[in-house]
Amino acid sequence: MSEEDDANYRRRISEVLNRHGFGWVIGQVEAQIAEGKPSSKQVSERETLPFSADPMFAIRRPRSRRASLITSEPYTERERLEILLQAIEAAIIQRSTIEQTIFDHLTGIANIRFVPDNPTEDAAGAIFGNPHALSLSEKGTAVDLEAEARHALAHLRERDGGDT
Amino acid sequence: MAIREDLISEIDAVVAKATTVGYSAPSATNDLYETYIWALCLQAARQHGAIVNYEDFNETPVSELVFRTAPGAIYSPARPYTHAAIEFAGCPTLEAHIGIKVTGKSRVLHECDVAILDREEARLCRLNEVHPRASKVLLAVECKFYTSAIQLYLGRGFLGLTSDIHRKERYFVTNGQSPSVTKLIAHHQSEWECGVFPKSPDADALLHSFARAFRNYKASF
Repeated sequence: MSEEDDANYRRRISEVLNRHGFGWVIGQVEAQIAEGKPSSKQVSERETLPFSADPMFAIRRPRSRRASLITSEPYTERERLEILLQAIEAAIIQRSTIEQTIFDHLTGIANIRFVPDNPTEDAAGAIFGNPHALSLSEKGTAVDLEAEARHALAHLRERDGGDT
Repeated sequence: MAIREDLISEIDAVVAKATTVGYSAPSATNDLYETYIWALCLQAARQHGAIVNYEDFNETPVSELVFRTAPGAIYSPARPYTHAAIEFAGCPTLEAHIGIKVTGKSRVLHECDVAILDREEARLCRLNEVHPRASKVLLAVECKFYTSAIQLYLGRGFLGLTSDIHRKERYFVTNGQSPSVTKLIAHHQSEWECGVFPKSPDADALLHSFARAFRNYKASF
């Protein structure tokens, strides 16, 4: 699988996410990619000797020391694609498992509603959030979605017999 | 090599289905993540023998939970928001809230995604329409659900928060991994747990941390 193929898969999957309202996932992925991979780099730093007017005190050679400093490296196309796939995993699979698990922890509860604090501001979802609900009766949907997402991501990772 | 269209179609179908059940709204995912962490707190309390009840603003038991979609005032009667009452034998009752504002040492208001506080403080605040003092908050959690590595500014924000609402039992919790953020927070000796989502080993670690906080609370009486 070439770098170009990985880039094409990433582009096509990003288009799918954007089309279905998951642009925020792309935004978070792009932020991580832009930041790059932090890694350590061994550098040699030279000791600076104080200036002396007397040449007798300046005969020692400056010592060289090794230091480990942090640098940022760009991600490869393969890594970028994997970051995107992991983001889908979080947005769909993790979200689905959270929905399923909440009711396991909250025994005796079958419905949860999320509503903005200020009734007059319901429309201002960007600030106050939008109302939504979670029902135990919809657990089956979450289970199905998790399974389907796992399959789709596994197929992508195993495409043409390779791993990302 | 050409792109395999069947793989793109398969992803398309899954993402389309996720949208129809509301997964494309990031704020809803954040709300659920906070609820999940709140539920973990309650589980930790139960593990230490607590009796947990769900109540509304008037301390009336409820069977349907109602939560905020953005941080608000503990005293707001606008909606029948739910909190959990946590009772350990021989200890003052605690309340577990989601998305409330608390007053820091500087008398500035901060937002706590999950906060466990003394019930007497909560009652005082509801009665007088004031925000709880951070010193009365036993445990607070900053929850961050991200689909990629979280950005450093979030860690910096948490450190600023803990400098004003005390450092003990204040947790930075996220579903993802971010070596830079955890390094920063650990360097400043604050509590953090990354990779927390259902069935993850880190979720167990967080549960143990919460349980330890409750154990210490019980031991103090």
